[in-house]
Amino acid sequence: MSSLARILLVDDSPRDTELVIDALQEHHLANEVVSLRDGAEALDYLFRRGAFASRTDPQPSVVLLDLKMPKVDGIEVLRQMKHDAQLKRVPVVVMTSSREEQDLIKSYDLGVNAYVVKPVNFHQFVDAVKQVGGFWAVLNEPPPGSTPRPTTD
Amino acid sequence: MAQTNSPMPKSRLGRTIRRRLIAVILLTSVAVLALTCVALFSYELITARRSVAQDLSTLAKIIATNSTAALAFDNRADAQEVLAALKAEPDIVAAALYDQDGKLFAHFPANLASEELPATPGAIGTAYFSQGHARTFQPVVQGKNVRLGTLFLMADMAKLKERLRVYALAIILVMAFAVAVAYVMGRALQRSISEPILALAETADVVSHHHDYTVRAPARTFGELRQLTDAFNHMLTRIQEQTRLLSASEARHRLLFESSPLPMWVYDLETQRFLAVNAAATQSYGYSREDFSHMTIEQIRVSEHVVALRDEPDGAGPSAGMRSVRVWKHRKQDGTIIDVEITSHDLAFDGRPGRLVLANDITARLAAEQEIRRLNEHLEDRIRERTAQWELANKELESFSYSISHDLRAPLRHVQGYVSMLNRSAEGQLSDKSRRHLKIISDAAMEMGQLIDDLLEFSRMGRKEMTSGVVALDQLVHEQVERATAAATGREVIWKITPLPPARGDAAMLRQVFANLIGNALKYSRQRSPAVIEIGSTDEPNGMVTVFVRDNGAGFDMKFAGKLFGVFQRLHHSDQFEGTGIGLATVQRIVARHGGRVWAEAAVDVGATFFLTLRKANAPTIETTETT
Repeated sequence: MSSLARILLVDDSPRDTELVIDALQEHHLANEVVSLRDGAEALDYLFRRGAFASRTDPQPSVVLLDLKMPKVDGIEVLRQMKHDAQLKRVPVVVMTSSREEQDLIKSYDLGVNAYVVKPVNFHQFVDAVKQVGGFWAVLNEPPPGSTPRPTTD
Repeated sequence: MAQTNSPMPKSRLGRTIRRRLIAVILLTSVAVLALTCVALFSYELITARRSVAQDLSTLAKIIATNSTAALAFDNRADAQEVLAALKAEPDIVAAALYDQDGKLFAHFPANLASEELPATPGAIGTAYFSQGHARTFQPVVQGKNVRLGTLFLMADMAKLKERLRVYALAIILVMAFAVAVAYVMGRALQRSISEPILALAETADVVSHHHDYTVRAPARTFGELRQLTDAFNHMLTRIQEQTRLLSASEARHRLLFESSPLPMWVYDLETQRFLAVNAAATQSYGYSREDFSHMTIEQIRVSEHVVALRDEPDGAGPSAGMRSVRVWKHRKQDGTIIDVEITSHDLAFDGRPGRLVLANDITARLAAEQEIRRLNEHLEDRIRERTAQWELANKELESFSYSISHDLRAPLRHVQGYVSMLNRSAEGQLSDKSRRHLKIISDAAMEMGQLIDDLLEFSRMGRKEMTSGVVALDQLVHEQVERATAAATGREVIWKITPLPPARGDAAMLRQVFANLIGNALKYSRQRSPAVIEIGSTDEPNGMVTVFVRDNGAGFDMKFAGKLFGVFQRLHHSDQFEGTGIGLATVQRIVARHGGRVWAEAAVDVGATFFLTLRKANAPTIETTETT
């Protein structure tokens, strides 16, 4: 199962993280989920700095990005990624509680690949995660240099 | 004219007229008398001379007859005797008798020298006058026509002269008497002419010197002088009336000038001196009329403005004479500087080029204007300040609702999520009661999520920037009806929708309005079968339109109508009709931001009608009041 796409999950809420991972697992989509707690960690990971300076594995197939986080917020992470020659190819899906218009506008302006509002209803939430994970981690052809697409098992 | 020449004293005028009249009368009398006397005297002279000549001829004939014999007989003595008889005639100064040959035969008086007599006889004829004497030659004839000689007589004229002298004396006496009588009568008669003239002159004198037009010349005579007097009096009456009118008009104008509440004056354009000032000017500037009369206009001007006056081109103005309003600085007697608005008009004043000036003290007004400007600036500052505060508050509100949006929803999701996970992991181990409790927890979290969503929407509708465009209400309403119908499957609903006019506003916001109203109509009529929902509009004046959404549902009691549009206000229990109580508050907020009004009419178990006014798209745009 090592060939399954790697998902980078950035969310400051451990509960959300747990719920997302639970949902992914339920649908067998989470072979490898890297979970980070804020934007600063995410940037270190993606740019292989700090704690992740020695990281050698390929970039994730998709980044599930929360917006409202301490230190560096999701918009800033998105901005830096989309301004980097390599990282701009990595698909970013914003998964947030907010439907705020300004967030939508900023995200799309920066070139976000998808924008998903986390529903309050858990079943809808699970359904959303399943669809997002299924599409981006399975169906979508990731850019070259990222985790190889999953082979059929 | 009379007033420019020095007037003649009345007494002298009187003397002159009297003298002249008397002189005329006297001269006329004397001339007539003199002519008469000359005529009489001439006649007398001629008559006297004729009479003398006649007498001399007659005498000559008598003497000649008496001398016939003496000549016939050549008797000198007789002849001498006949001639000597002439002694009786004192007038005869000389006589001579010539013979047939013309030689002197005898002469009288005997001692007369023969040289004093004509040497030979002259022509026979009537007597003639020569050298102060009358002379005549008379033939001496015998029988029928034998000429014997010639008689010569010469008479003295002394008698005649004496007679004429007496006559002349009488004439002179008569003339002197006549002149005296003429003078006396003239003196008396001239009064009838001179007195009315003098009365006229006196009246004219009073009029011209005392400008008293009330006097009248006495009318004592008749004829032309009476006419003259009447005409003069009539003229005086006319002048008096015109003077009265003129002075009344002048008084009115003077009153206008004098009683003007604004300071006014006239000044000489050449000397800059004040020619007239009104009472307001003296009060306003603190100078007396006497002061003003010695002042020039420059003395009340503040120096820098005097220069401006001189630079000003003369006669510059929209119309001849009338000059534009300008603001000057003037100095009052006490040194106070005032701002005055000057309106002026050029005119001729007593024959001098002058300017009528009307000065309006606007110092207080300018101060007030300045104060208003200052207050305005202050107000603008305050508005800026408030706007900044408002913007800050708005920003805070924005970040607040942003936080709510993110942070309040997450825990609810977690509640739901973990309840769900619990349900799954503990499946089979939970009692029905526990599962019911878990369901309530989950439902409560759901409700709160909805509440937060609605609140955020409500808040967003207040803060969101509004766009103003043409909104096709028809299309918008149909979209919402379709959406609502899709959500209300299995229900029998009759839609009665009449065409709506396009409105002006923000399409997204108005979509929210109709989504809420149509959603409500459907929700509260779900116990009806069929449910009847009507949507229509009525035109209002001033470019507005009223749109209504009517249902035949549960309705509500009108006494609670006031609470209808408040946030979280509900007129039904949520177990009866679910809802958060924010939908109508959002509707009201959006309509208010469009400058419209929203209200409802309802009756319990009959239905409710919601009305809202919007501006029609073809109506002129008006800035709507932003409410948050």
